[in-house]
Parts: sequence; C-alpha cells; structure tokens
Amino acid sequence: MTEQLQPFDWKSSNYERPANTWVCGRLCEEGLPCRLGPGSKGDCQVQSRCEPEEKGGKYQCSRSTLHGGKCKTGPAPDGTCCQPDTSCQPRRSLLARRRLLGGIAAFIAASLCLIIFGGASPSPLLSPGAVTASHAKIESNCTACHTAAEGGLGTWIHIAFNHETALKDSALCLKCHAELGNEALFAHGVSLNRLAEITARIQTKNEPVSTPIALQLASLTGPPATKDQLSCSTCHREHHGRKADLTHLTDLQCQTCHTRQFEDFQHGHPALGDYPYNRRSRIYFDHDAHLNRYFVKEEFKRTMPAGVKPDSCNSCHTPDASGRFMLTGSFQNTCASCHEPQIEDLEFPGVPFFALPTISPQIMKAQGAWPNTTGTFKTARLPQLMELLLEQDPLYQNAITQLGTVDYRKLNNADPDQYAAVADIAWSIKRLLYDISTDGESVLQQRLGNSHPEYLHLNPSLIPTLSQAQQIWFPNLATEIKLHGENKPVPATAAKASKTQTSRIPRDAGNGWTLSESDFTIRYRPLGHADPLLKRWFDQVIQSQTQALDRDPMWRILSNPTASGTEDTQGALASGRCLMCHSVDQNPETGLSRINWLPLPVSQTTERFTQFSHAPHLSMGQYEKCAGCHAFEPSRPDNSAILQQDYFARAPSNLFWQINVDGQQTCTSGFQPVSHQTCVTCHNKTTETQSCLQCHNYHAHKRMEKP
Amino acid sequence: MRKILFQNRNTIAAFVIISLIIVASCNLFAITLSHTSFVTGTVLLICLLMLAGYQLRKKLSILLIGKTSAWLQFHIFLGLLTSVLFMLHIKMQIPDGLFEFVLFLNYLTVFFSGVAGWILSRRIPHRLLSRGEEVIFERIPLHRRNIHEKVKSLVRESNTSEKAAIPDFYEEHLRTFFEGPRNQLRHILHSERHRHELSQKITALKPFLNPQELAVLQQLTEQIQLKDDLDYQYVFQAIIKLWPFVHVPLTYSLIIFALYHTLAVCAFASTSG
Repeated sequence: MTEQLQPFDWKSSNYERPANTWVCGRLCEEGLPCRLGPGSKGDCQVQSRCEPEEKGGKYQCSRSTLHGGKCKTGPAPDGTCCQPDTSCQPRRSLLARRRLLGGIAAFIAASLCLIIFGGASPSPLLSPGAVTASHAKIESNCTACHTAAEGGLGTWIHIAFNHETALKDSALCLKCHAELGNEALFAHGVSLNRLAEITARIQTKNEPVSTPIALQLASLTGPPATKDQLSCSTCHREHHGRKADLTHLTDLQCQTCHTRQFEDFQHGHPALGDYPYNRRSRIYFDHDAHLNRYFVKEEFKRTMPAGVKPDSCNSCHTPDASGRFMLTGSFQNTCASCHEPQIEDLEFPGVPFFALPTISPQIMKAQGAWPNTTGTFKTARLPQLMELLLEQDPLYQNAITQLGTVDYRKLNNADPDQYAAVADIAWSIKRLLYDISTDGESVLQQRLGNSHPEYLHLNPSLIPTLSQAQQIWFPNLATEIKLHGENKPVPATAAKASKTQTSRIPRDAGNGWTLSESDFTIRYRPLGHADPLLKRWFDQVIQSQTQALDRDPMWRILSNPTASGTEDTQGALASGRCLMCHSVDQNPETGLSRINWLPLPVSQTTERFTQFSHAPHLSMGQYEKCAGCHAFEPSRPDNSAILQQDYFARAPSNLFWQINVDGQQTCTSGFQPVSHQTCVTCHNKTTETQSCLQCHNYHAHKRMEKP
Repeated sequence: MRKILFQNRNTIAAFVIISLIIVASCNLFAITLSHTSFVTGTVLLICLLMLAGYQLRKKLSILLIGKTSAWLQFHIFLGLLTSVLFMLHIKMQIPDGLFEFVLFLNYLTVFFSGVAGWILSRRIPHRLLSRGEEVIFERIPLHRRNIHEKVKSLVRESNTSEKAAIPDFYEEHLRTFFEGPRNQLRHILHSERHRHELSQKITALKPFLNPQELAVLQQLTEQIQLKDDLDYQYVFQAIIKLWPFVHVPLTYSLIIFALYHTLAVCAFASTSG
C-alpha cells in the first residue's frame, strides 16, 4: 500500500485555479510552486530580492513579510540584496493555451476567407467543383452564369438576400440557351394559359390511378410554385464534376408538380392515345394502299411499268445518323419510279400565264397588228397573271367598265359602239407587252407592287418568253405604240411582216415556259418534281393570301388534288398537284401557313413533350419487325377515303378543294396507334428502363437539330 | 458496451428516430425539386452555433439554465446529429472545390475529435480509477517532485563509503525514471513491460544487498510504483485535457468557414445548387 500523494486539508493544499491564464513557472519546471502564484498579466509575484534602504549610511533589508520578511544576512555593504533571484517565468495555463490556439485558428480561418472572398471577383478557390464538360469552356468566367460574380464581397452580401437572383442567373443561362424560347422559365417552357389548358385536359381524364405514398408525403412540404417562373437551377445543378448529369431527375421529381401522379410507366401511366399519329404525317402517303393493294400481285406494273416494288420498310425508311428518326427516302429513291412520269406529265400543255384574246380585224381596224383574230378564246377570263398586271392600267379598267361583264369568249360579239373599248383592251395588252419587253422585271414590280409578290422574280423567269412573244406577235410594237400615242391610225400590216422573223426565234427555251402560236398563249409546264417556280409560288402565296386562296384561279389550278383539270386547264393536271402529297400546316398562334415539303420538320418549334429514338429499338433486332409497333389498321376497309379527309376537304361550292391546314388533325396514316402495352413489354420495372426522361422532354419548345 | 447501450436506449432510440425523420424529410423535400442543401445547410449552421454555444454555457455557470451535464448530453446528441445532416448536405460525396474541401476536412476533424473526446471521457475515468491515486492534474509535477525528493533522500541515506549498490542502481536505472513523466505510450497501451523490467532488475540486485539496503530498496520499490501510477494518471489526464485543443479551436474556424460558405452559397447557388 503506497502512501497518499495528495493532502486535501486546507492548510497543506493549495487552491488550484486552472482557469487562470498563467501558472507558476516553477511548478511546471521543478514542481515547486510558490504560494503566491503569477500575477494576472503573467508576471512572477515572488520578490526574493529587495531594494535595500539606506538609513543612516547603512543599508537595511526592505523585504516585506509577505515575501519572506527581512533576511538575516541583510544587504551587502554596497547596498545590493544578498538573496538570490528565485522568480520564475510564469507559463500559460492549459485553458489559456487553448484559448490562444482558438484565437489563432479563428484568425487563420478569417484571414483565409478574406483572401478568398476579398477580391473584386470570385477566386477560383471558391469554386465548389468542376462544371460539366459542356460548360467547361466558360468555367473560368464566373460572370457568364453568376450575377454575383460581377462584384466583390459587398455585392455578394447584397445579392445573397435578393430573391430575384435565381431568375437573373437563369436569364444568363438563356443567353446561350436561346433555343428554349421566350417562356423557357415557365413550367415546361409553355405559357401559363397553355399550361392551364393542358392541366385541365389531363384532369378531365378519370382513369383511376394510385398516387405513390412518397409523392403524397412530399406534397405536404409543398411542390414548387408552377405558376411562377422557375429558375434553371431548380432542375439543373452545376459544379458537380465534368461528368455530372445536369438533366438527371427521378420519376418522383418529375411528377411532383403534376396533377396526375402514378407509380411508374408500367403502372398507372396514361394510355398513349393516338401516339405517334396524333398529327397527320407531313407527306400524304397511304401505306395500306401501297403495300396491300398496289404492290400485291405486281398490279402496279400495269399502270406504272417502271415502278419498283419496295422489299421492306427500310426500302423507304432508314435511320438518321443519331438513330433517333426514321428518315423517309428522297422522292427520287422512293417515289420516282412510279410517280415521276405522272409529275412530268408530258402530254399536259401547261398552265396559261399570258394569252391574247381573240379580237376580230373589224374591231382592230386601224389599231395596228393583232395576231389572234380567228377562233374562240377558251376561257371567260384572262389568265390570272394578266389580270393582275392590267389591274392598275386605267385604259384597261375604263374599257372593262364600258363593256360591263366581260366574257373573253364572246369579245367579238360586242356591239359596234363597244369596239373602241375592246380595242382599248388590246392596246392595254400591247402596252403591257411593250413595257415588259423594254423594261423587264421592273414592270412587274411596278404593276404588281407588293400585293402579289408571288409573281415577282419567277424562276425560271417569264420575261424572256414574253419578250420573245412580243417579237413574234408584235414585231413593230414600238412604232405602233408611238403612233397610237400620237393618236394616229396604226396600220395592221406589221403582224404579217413578222411571220417571217418568228421562224428563227426558238419557241421553247426548255425552262418550262412555252409559247404557243396556235392559241397565242404562254404557258408554264412544271419541269418535274420540286419545280422551283411552283415551289416558290406556293411558299409565297400560302403566306400572303390564305384567306382568299380558294377564290384564286391560279390556286384552283395548282392545288387541285383530283387532277381533274379546271376551266383554264382542261384535262388531267398531275404536274400541278404538289399539294396532293405535300400537306399544309397552319401555325395556330401566328396564323402563318407552311407547306411541308419534307417529311420531317426542319426545326421543331412547336410543343414536343415526347421524344422517341428508334436507334435502341433497332439495335434490339426490331428493324425487320417494324410492324411489331406499327401495325396496320385492320378494321377499316378503305383507309384512303379517311386519309384524304384528313388532308383535303371540299369547298362549300363542292367545285373546288380546300386545303386542310390543321396539322394536328388526327390521321391514322393507315396504322394503329402504338399501344402502351407494347412499350411495357420491354419498358418495365424488371428492365429498369421506364424513366420519365427516357421518353419525355421537360423543355417542350426546345428546337431539335435537323436530322 | 451492451450495458452502455442498454442504459442509453432512450437516447439511442431518439437519435435513430430523429435521424430517420431528417433523412426521410430530406428525401421528400428533394422530390419537390427543392434545394435540400439549403435546408440541411441552414439547420447544420444553426446546430454548429448551438454546439459552440456549449462553451459559452460553461462560462455562464451562474445562469440557471439547466445542469452542465445535461448540456453536455445535449451537446453530444446534437453533435452526432450534425453528422447525419452533414452527410445529407454533402450528398455523401467529397467536395471538389478547395474551399469546400477545407470546410469538409474542418468539420470532420471537429466531429471526430469530438467523438474521440466523448469516448475518452467515458473510458478514461474508469482507467484512472483502476490505478493509483486520483490526483489533480495541475499538481502532478508537485507530486512527482516530492516522490523524486524522497527517492533521492533514500539514496543519499544508503550511500556509504563501503556500499554504493543502491546509489549506483539509482543512477543507472532510476534517475531518468523519476525525473519526469515516462513510459506514456506504454501506459496508453496498457503495457506494464517497463515495470516488469525494473522489477527484474530489482530482483537481480537483491542478492547483493544487506538487510538495511534491502529495506531501502523496498521503499524505493514503493516509490517506483507510486511514480509509475502518477505517470499513468498524468498521461490519461493529459489526454482528456488535450483533445479539446483540437476540438475547440477548430470549431471557431469551422464557424467562420461555414458563415463564409453560407454567404457564397446564397449569392452563387442559384445556378449551382
């Protein structure tokens, strides 16, 4: 048994004060502390030596009783104290050292923060991590994404308490991501009205679904306010590394704002409806008729001798580079073998653009040459372009007024007192020809102005053919115009003299324009598929005159899907039937129409909540099994009629066709809609391929790249 | 261990339940596309300030705001809870940014030093009771000196002109042992090898000593045990005294870093989250 080290009686035990800043140095070094201990400022209070006092020529010890009292030896003769110096250097207590260390740590931390945060712009040290690879180029430029980066610490403090910072930062995102549209910050990038409309539509569906418990609980915390703008960072969180997925969202997160919530794609997902046929295809094509009628038993050889039968779906459809879209082959590769001869339509003389009415020499007496004097003009009206060019001619308009209702087929039956008016019509036409042959395109510009731009700058140009016609039909037109201007009689011999000259002038330049001497008409016969003149004319006319299109004679000719001909163009007119295959869509917001010259849109500007990529499906050996998803509609005996109704409609007069510009009109395209169950076969819980983002876009208005 | 778990079953259950509630709330909050990092970060900062406030509570002992022991329990409980919040805050990933990595390391050091301190403060008292006399840490140098003085006195007494076995033994084996704290690592490791070694040397010396010297040697042996126990007390009390040297100063730097981090996040996180 060892003895007790530590006495606790008050006499022999010091009262320890570990909370004091200083402790006796002798305690630490020798374990022999003095009873006084150090002072509060770290000074040793032991005064072993004194300052001897001189009294009567002798030095006397002045040490106080507290410090041991007067020493026996007393001071030295020279007045110095005889005692050794036993004072110590007090040391900091543990607590004081800890405090000091705490102060140093806080100072270092604060200094480090001031260095990092003190600059005029954010230090790279402040970056919370690398940005994704797609943003790597702007990583060093903090101001590209952060409004706070435009200033220093003071700005940050101000911005930290500003609720609009997130939206201001999102505006910076949209500087580069302009493809998301003007309403990108609203939910799904659609307007609030549109969102309300979609929501209301979904709410009307009363299919029973069970909301996942997690979503029910999450709703207690409150979903994001979808009526307000959402910042980009709501979904996209940056600075999580180069390989971070900025678009990753869980299915539950996707559904948090939705009014209709369900467990997963396999359980509770709404039926796909008409997808992917919730709008008609851009090119009218009856798959059922082609595959199940035309190419069965080689019947097509009878009417299409050069036709080539497709082997399979991929004879016409091949995936694009990304594999996302199944592209439709070009006209030349897919349709031309059967339909090129139809479109070329060599037997068709063409669409009349300019014609000389039949006026008897009796009427044109002393009015100069007029080549078309015999026979009957075929139509009651002049060609559309001629009427437009003469519309602003006062002489012509005056003559029309005098004649009343003009039927050009009966022009020669006019009363003698109306001869002058008929002659004025002839002179108006001559003046028009003269002006065009001398001034060219500018005359068209002047006479048509901005009201009919579709006839300006026609390509191939009409001007050379008109000039050619003038030389043939009116070789002395300049003289005639001069004499007529001087109110002098104009001899009619000029036209006869021209007969010899005309044989040397080519009648057809091979550019679609033909000049007929038999009926004194200039016609245009399209060069074939994708005729440049008609394509441009359609593109322009559909933009400018959609309201009055059905009354436009030229439109009636060129948009007649029945190929039955019109009064102006008797007989079949295959070459004008561009709109037989190319549908017209009208943007409901802008009212502008557009002809779908291509099977897929060049850019996707409309809402697109769903995306589908064929590539992964094709790689699973489904390429030859397109019918696995795209099954023909079996129940309808004649799809053609149904299909045509989606594209064309009879005008109220029942004489002409109206173009259906509603692209969203449902069209089966001859196929059944893809079934949800078909997708579930592969996309289910087992395969873990049923994420929302696999098929759906959040940014419904994000423009797609051209395939 | 099982006994400790049983004794603290209510606290452990409360911790588990609160942790589960935090994790579940965080996950539910994340479903709503809310920035959970903001929430966890805010709560974490408040917790850190409250934890640091414990130091203040110790200073304000005159205030009647609960027992310090209760505050310590709350401090430990809240400290452990911050680990759950912290892991949720960093989404179980090591931060890439330098500043955030420093903050990350700072927190981990504070947290683990706290956990270590908590464990030590539970374990060491038992060990201190198991050996030697409970002494006040600040007085240990004094006791050490007293022992050493006594030993030197015994040695001086046995130092005669004829016999110098004990002084020689003292000079050779005991002087350094008594001069200061020794064998600290062995005490920490609960090793008594040094005592056995000394014991063997003493046993080897005994045949050469006369009865008076043997009596002195017996007293020296007692002083050796006394000194060794004192060293044992010293090293473990020192450990208890020293771990806050890591925990407390780094808490201050952690709070400063966290405040700046909060400022940066509020200013910049609208595009980074």
